[in-house]
Parts: sequence; structure tokens; C-alpha cells
Amino acid sequence: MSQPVAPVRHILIEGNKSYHNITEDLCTPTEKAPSREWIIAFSIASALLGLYIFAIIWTVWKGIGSWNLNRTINWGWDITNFVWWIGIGHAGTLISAILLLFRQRWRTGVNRAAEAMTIFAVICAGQFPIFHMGRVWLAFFIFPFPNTRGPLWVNFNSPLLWDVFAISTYFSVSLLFWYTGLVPDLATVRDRASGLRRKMYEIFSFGWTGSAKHWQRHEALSLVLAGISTPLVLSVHTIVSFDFATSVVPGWHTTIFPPYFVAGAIFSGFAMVQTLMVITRKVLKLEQYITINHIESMNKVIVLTGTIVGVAYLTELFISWYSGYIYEQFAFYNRVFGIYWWSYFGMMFCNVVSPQLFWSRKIRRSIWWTFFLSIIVNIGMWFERFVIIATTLARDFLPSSWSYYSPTWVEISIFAGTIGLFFVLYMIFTRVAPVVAIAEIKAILKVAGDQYIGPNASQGHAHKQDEATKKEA
Amino acid sequence: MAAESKKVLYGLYNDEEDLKGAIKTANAAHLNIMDVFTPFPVHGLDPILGLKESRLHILGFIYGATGALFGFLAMTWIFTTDWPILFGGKPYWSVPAFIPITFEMTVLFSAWGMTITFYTICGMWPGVKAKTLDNRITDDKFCIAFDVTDAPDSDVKNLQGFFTNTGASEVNVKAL
Amino acid sequence: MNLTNTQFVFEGKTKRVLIGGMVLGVLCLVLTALNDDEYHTRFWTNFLHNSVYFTAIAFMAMFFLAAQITAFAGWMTAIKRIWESMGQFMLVGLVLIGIVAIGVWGHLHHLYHWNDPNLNISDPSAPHYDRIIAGKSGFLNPVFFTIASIGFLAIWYFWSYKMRQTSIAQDTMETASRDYYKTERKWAASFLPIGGFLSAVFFWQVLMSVDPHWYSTMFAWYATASAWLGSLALTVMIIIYLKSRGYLDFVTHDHLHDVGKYVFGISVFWTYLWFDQFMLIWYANNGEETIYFKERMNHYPVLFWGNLLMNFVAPFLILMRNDTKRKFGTMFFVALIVFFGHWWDYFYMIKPGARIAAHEAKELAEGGHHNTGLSAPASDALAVKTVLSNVKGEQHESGEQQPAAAESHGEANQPVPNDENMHDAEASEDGAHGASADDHGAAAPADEHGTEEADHGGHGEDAHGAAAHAAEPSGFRLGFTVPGLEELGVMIGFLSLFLFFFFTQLERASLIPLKDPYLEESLHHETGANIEGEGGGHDHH
Repeated sequence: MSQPVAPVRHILIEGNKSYHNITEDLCTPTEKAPSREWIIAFSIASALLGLYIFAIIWTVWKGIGSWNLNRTINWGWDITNFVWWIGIGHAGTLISAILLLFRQRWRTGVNRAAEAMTIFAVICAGQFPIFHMGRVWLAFFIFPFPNTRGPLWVNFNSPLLWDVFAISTYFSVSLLFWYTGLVPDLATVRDRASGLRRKMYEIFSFGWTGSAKHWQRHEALSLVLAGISTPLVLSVHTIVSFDFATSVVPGWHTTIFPPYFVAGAIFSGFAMVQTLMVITRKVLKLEQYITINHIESMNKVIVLTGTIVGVAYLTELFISWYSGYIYEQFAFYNRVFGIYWWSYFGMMFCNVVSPQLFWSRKIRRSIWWTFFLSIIVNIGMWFERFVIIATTLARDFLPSSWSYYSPTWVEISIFAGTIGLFFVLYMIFTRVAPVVAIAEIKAILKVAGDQYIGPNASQGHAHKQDEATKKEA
Repeated sequence: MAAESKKVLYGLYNDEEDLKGAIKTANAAHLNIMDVFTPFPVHGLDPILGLKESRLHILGFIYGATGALFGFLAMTWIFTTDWPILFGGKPYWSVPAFIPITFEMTVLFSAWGMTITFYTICGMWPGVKAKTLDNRITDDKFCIAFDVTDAPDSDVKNLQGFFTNTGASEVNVKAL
Repeated sequence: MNLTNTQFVFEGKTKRVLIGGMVLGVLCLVLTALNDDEYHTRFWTNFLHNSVYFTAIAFMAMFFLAAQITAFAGWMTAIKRIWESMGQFMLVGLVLIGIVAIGVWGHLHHLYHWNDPNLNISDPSAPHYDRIIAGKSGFLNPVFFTIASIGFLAIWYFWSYKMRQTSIAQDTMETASRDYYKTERKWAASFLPIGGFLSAVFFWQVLMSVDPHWYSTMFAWYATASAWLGSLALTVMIIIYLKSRGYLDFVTHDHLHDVGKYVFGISVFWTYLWFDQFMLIWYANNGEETIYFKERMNHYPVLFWGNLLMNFVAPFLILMRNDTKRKFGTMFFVALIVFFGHWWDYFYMIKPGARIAAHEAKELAEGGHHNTGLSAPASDALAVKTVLSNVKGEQHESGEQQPAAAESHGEANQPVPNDENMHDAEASEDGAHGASADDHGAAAPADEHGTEEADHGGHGEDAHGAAAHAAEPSGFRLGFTVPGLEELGVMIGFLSLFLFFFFTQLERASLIPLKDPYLEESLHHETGANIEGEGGGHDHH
């Protein structure tokens, strides 16, 4: 039962791979000793993680006073970073869930890594509100549970509490989704391993056998998880945007925030996926699985979401003028021309202008441009959150309390440290689990492999595997 | 758990199309396939194996509905009966404000419920020893297995003939 | 696979039926014009409502097609020609919206309060100076209206014409070149930002400015999502109709299933936008924003709740299952609800604002705005209050009436004292916060109130907004608070016009692009759904 493939479809697996080749290529990184580059990079990331731990201990020991938050700017880098990290996580769910529903085959090349990235990004994001609480040992107060403080409950009307629910649900459901997809691949690694490694992977692969019935249930589960993860991912950044938009603060209270935050999240998430994938494919030699076609597709998503974000920025700007509400007008005037003007222009340039370069096919398919612009977008999306948070808070209703905020070394260290945390987790992941979903790649081989489609297809849409593969097997 | 050992005759194929062809042949010959193992989900395998559509999604709906009801009713009870507090001049029973958490609870219950159900009905948990017939099944081999514990030799012969005829690359017997 | 019956023939009988529909539409329009106020508000709202709805449907058909082409979608090749033909209706839309624009220039209607000739937006020292609309006059003026409506539509139509032409030209090409495919992709990809940016302005201008004091950044996307669903629902109905006429053999359950998924998914998305807009406004409780929902919930409860019922509850519950999306009968039924539901949604967006505009026009013509005390000189702080009072009637008047309103809130067991206190305390405060106060009483608990029609009798309509002056208090008044029979007739008329034009377009080319590179994929499209007991879906293997 072969599915026809349109002759204009892109090749997604290069190098005339057989099933066995795929297993080999994708499992090897977990089996070899780490390369020198990996060790160097891991050391740098670990050093940053060390900085993180130090800065966090400092914060907890000294108190939140060690941050530069002040009377009006009670959210500074912390919440900026929180929103930034949460946003980065969104691409993973988008790729794994929404693109699964849209049957975009190119997702298979990057979904595993992107989902892992989601989980690690959410872990990083979670650090900020938790440590912003100050008395972090009481952090469990945010959960509603019968307690010794009388029947005192959390405020279910507060968007900050919605965040607690949204982010913990998002984290745990993403983890389930990711791990369930990983189980068959861990079984593949298991079946190639021996000794202690085999024992470890036996535990982690849950006794997966590859039975047809299990596959069927696995697919059903993945599909439903994708189905519910789609509104979930929308809800998470929506609720993050509610943190701002439910208020009556000019510049925050705007109804477009939810969808615009979601678009921005996907935008920044894809930029981070690009940053990671460009490096990963090179270091782990996965260029034949994460092809330039994958990169191009992701760049298209970036230009799309960048433009959506652009529409939203201009909408906000226009409506603030249109509203005739002087406070709203001032909030936006202040964003563009106020003390933090540089962050607004940084945001506009990085998020709206620079991705437009991807209209050029040449730039879209250039590794260097992709890498460069993905970094620019990451910076731009950080600026966006900073613009929303700091610019607004620095100029509140009382001019007497207007102030300026810049971070202390502690805040900078924590931010830099979470990047270390993120990369430590990601780099461990690349060592212990296949970075590309093995089973899913095999499942699309015959509709996306270069021996089956494209100009050099030797197999047409043949049912038989090619001879080269047979000999090798 | 499975203390009683099973004798399994299995054949390995190199390609999913061979596998599907073999299953069709087996169906025609009324051979009782114990299980089929593949390295990835093979498109179009379920109908020829006669596998009924998974009902996981129905369970997912039930779990989700439970979560939604639980979340919404819990908030309703807490804020109208147990400890009503006035927040920002809003009614005690602020339905719009309850919707985000209700939604999250729906997803949480549905996802966890389904995933736990999936692992339970598949008999998969951390530490479960995989009843693997061949290590290459998770690599590039497609396997059909027959339970031949109590089968007479003639049947085994017959099955071996079936494997040879349908292009199996290897045929083995293994005790599980 | 039967690819023989690919030429649609627009039969005389169908033509006659559609012409009949159009005649009915004209008759109903005339009827609404006769049974109307002096400004022919009902006539004009009907005209604007249907013109915008069907034009937006055409736009979204094209926009969605462009998105699909850009995303390398193969499945939809079999129904591509339907969307292309739907998109061409923008040409007719150009005429229809053009008539609205002529109305703006010639002051033939009072749909837009900002266009009222008696409105004072130039002289702050004169009475009844409307500072808010004056601030918006750079955007809310006939010139910009013309640009944003006709101008933008013309641009969209040009793109949709080009995409259509490229697609048709592909049918006749001799060599297996990919040139047309590439050209079409370019038109499609460039249409996305053009459509995306301009549609927002279009909807602000033709729809949101009906409530000229009110604003919401979400509005344009909300209106777009609504039109998107109207477009998808109409697509489903057209597919099923054409299949019943013996066309589109190549469109299978699987294609329908995918369109069904979109109807389901976008319905959820629409609800998401609806909820975001509503919840944020409800939560922040700013008077100048809540007025929009308050007006609708209190005076148009059937409209308000019917909107959610038809556009969320119905498609969500019916289309959640896989098999319902594959059944022609069920899908037609759902599509009908959704199509009608979003038409209803546009009515909901237009009618209340337009009725207030007419009421205000009358007041201005009679020489007095209600809010004499507050208009001039408008300090910044007071300005916000002006917004409210322009819409709501005199400040102190509503203050007097407030207890009556509060009483009825009390019945619903709300934290009433708070409302009153806030009202008293803030009535004299500066505008930024004070503006929300008098709204507070009604807006916060309104979600429960809206349903109870009985509520309205007891409310004292005067306290609650200008619409009370404009029409008799009622939650259910055919033709005014909910679409009436004439409205339905007008809709049928416009639908007939749409279909007439659509069929003439459909006739001009093959029903399926035979040289499209994705043709084979689409013909063998499978959703992977394994529905038991279904014959038709898989017979092409």
C-alpha cells in the first residue's frame, strides 16, 4: 500500500539509507565515548551551571534584595527570563503535536530534540518564579491542598495561580509525550547494548517489544496526546499572557496578548531549535536526517510567526493610539521613545525586520544565515518580554515613583546560569538517547528517502527494499 | 510473572511489504499468528491483522471529563462554600476565571490517565524484562511469531514451510 | 479513480433557483427598509452585515488556500478549485462594500457614528465635542474608509485573480514543467503577509468602527476566525452539494474528514479568541471596554448566548468524534449550524453598535447630546469618562438609577455592596479608574445575568445604556436583537448571489487541477482513520 508522493516534495532523508543504517547512525552517538568538542562544550555549560547554583544560593541566602527590583519594577529580569524560557519550550510541542496533526513529515527529523528542549526550557523557566518567591522553602504554598493554616486556599481567580496549573500540566504532559515517544527508541538502544548499559536501558525502555498491538496503541496514544497538547501549548502562553493582560496596567491590558504571546513563543522556540539543530547535526553528523530542507521549513515557520508577531506589535501600537486613552497612548509612546527605547528597537529589528530576510530562498537555505538569525531572534524575543515588563513598570501611574531598572550581577548570573542548566541537560540528553526519533524516521523512509523520491530516486515508489540494503543486511 | 515458558516459532522479514504479504498468506491459510513485531509502526498493518481500533481515546475523553468536573467543582465548592473570599469585586462564583484551571485539569487528567492506561494494558513498566525474540526487531527486522508450545511437529513443519514460502530471511525457535 | 466528470455545468434550473433567492433577498431588503427607523438602520445593517460576511468568506477561502499552498499541502488539491472560485467573489464584494463606502461619503446611512455630520470633532470649545472620536479622526474618516475597504479588497482580489489564473493556466500546459506551480507558490506566499496585515485594518474599519468608542486589539483576529469558519462551513456544504449532483467523485470521506477537522479545530480556536477577549475585558473591568459586552449581554442575550451555542458547543460536541467528520449528512448539518452561527456572529458584531449609532445620530440631530455636563472642556482625565457617557447616557442620571440595577444584582447573590461602594467612591475620582466604576455593577456579574430575560424589565433600561433609548427593551425582538425573517431572507439573497457567482467561476475551469503536482497525493489521500463499516473511503485502492 504505497502512498503516492508528489514529485515536488522535498527529500527528508539523504544518503540512500536502509533501516539498519538509520539505527546505526542514530544510536551511535549514545554508544561512543564523548568527543572532545562535547567535553569542552559540556565543561563550559557546567561552569555556567555552577554559576547558576552560586547565584541562586546567594539569592536565597541574602534575599531578593540582592536583585535590583525596586518599588515599581517588581518584575525585572526574572519574569522576563521566565517568559522567554517558557516561550522557547513551545516549539517542541508545536513540532511534535501541531505538525503531527498537520502531517508535516519534516517534523520527524527534529521533533525528539525539540521536545527535549521543551522540557529543559520549562525546567529553566520554572526557576525564576520559584526563586522570586523569596522564601523558596515555602514554595509549595502555591498548590491548593488541605493544610494546617486553616481552610485557606489559593486564589483560583489569579492568573498567577493559573500559571502554576498551566506550567505544571505542561511540563508533565510534555514529559509523558516525549518519553512515550522515546520508549521504542530506547528499546532499540537496549537491543544493541550489553552489560550494564543494557540493564539500564532495559529499565528505561519499559520492556518494549515492538508488538503490532502495542504500536497501534502507541500511535493512538500519540495522536490523542498531540490532540490535547495542541490546545495545551496554546493555553500555557495564553495564561502567561494573562499574567499581564488581566491587569489594568496600560500596555499590558490588551486583548490580543494571548494569541500574540503564543505566536511569539513559537517564533522564539523555533529560533532556539534552529540554534540547537545547526550545531547538533554538525557535531553528531546528522546532516542526512536534519537536512537543509528541514532547516528551510523551520525558517519558513520563523518568518511566518515573526510576521504574525509583527502584525500584533503594529496592532497594539495602532490601537493604543486609536483607543484615545491617554495612559494607553503614553505607555506605547514610552515603549518606543522612552528610557528603554533601545529594547523596543531591538525587539522590532530582531523580531519583525530580520526574519524577513528569510523570504530569500538563498538565506533560508544557508546554514550560517540560519544560525546567525536564530540567535538574533532569540535576543529579539528576550527584548520583547523586557519591553513589556520593564518599560511598563518603570513608568507607572505615579510619576513620583518612576524609576530605572538594571540588573545586578546576581540576576545576570542566574540568567546566564539557566542557559548553562539548559545546555547541561541537553548535552546529557544527546549522550543517552537518540536525538532523532529512530522509529519515526524509519516510518517515513519510503516517502521521504532520497532513493524513493526526488530526482535521483532509484526506487520510484517501489514496494521492495533496494538491493543495496539487502546485501548489507 | 510469566513463569510458564512458551515456545515460539518466529520468522524474520527484511521489509514491511514482505511482512504484510506473509500475513495475508497466513490469514488465507488460517494460521493463528501469535504476534507481529516491527521496528516502527507499519502503515496498513492493523486491518490485515484484524486489530480493532484502539479505544484509548474514549478513555481519554472520560479521564478528561473527570478532570474538568473535578477541577471546576472543587473551585466552586472552595469559593462558594468552604471559604468564600471577595477578589476584586468579582462574584464568588466567577466562572470565566475558573475556566483556565478547569481546562488544565482536563488535559492533565486525560494525558496521565491515558498514558498510565497505555502502559498498564501493554504490560510495560520500568524494569519489565522485554520478551524480545530477536534484538534486530527494534532495528530492521519484521517478525511474525507463532505459539508452538503444544503444537505437534507437523504443524511446526507446516509453519516453517510457510516462512520459507513467504520469503522470511530467518526462522528460529525460542522459549519465552 | 473516476476523473471524467470534471467539468461543472451551471444548469439553468440552478440558475433560476439562485435568481429566485436573490429576488427574495432584494424583497427582504426592501421590507426591512420599509419597516425601519428614519435612518434605515435595519436596511443598512443588513446590507453591511451580509456584504462583509460574504466578502470575508471569499477572502478567507483565498487566504486559507494560500496558506495551504505555502505549507506544501497536498491533500486539498481535490478541492482547490472550490476555494479558488469562492475567492473570486471578492470582485462582487468590491461592489457591495463600495456601496457602503458611497453611503459613508454621501451620509446615506448612520452605521458609523464617527461619520455623523452633526458630530463635533473639530471644536473642543463648542458643546458636544467628542474628544475620543476626534482623536481617531485620522483613521475614522471617509478617505481612510475607502482605502481600507475598497482599496484593500482590490489588492486581495488582484492576488486571488492571479492565483486563480496561474492555477488554470497550469491545466493547459503542455510540458511537465513546474513553472506554474512555482509562480502560484509565489503568489500564495506573498498573499499571506498582505492578507494578514491588511485584513486587520479592514475589519477595524468596516466592523469595529461601528462601535467607535470601543476598541479591542483582538477584534480583527476574532472577526477573521469567524469568517474563516464561515468559509470552511460553506466549503463543506458546497462539496456535499456538488457530490449530490454527481460531481467530485474524487473527493472522498478522507477529504471531508480533513475539512471537518479544520471546522472542529478552528471552532475551538474561535472559542479561544472569544474567551480571551471576553475574559480579559471582564477581568480588568474597564468601563470603556465592558460596555461592549454589557450591552450585548443585557440587551441581546439571545444573540450573545446563541453565538456560543452555535459556534462552540454544537461543532465541538458533534465533531469531536472521528466518524461524524466523515459522514456527509452529519457534516452538512454541522456546517449549516456553523455557517449560520458565524453569520449570526457578524450580526452580533454589527447590530448593537449600529443601533446605538442611529440613536446617537438622532440625538445629535435633535441638537443635544445626553452628556452635556461632561463634554467640554474635556480634560484628559474626564475624557475617558466621556467615552462612557457618550454611549451610556448622562452620568448622574445613571447614578440615580444605579440602586435599581444593584437590587436585581442582589437577587443573583452577588457581592453587591462592593459595586455600590465603588460606584459612589469613584464617581468623583479621576477618569482612569472611575470610568470603570459604574460599569462595574453590571459587567462583573453580568455573565449570569445575561441569560435571564426577565432581568431586563426590572433593570430600568435607562441606567443601562443608550440602546434603551433606541428601541424598546427586549431581549428578543426579531430583526433588532436577533436576526428576523427578513434578515434570513436577505442572507439567502446574498448567499444566492455568492453561489451564483461561485458557480459561474467554477464552470470556467476543470473541477480539479489535472496538472497539479500534488494531484496523485490528493487522489490517494487517507487520513489514517480506520472507521469500521465504511465502504466508500477506500475503494480507490
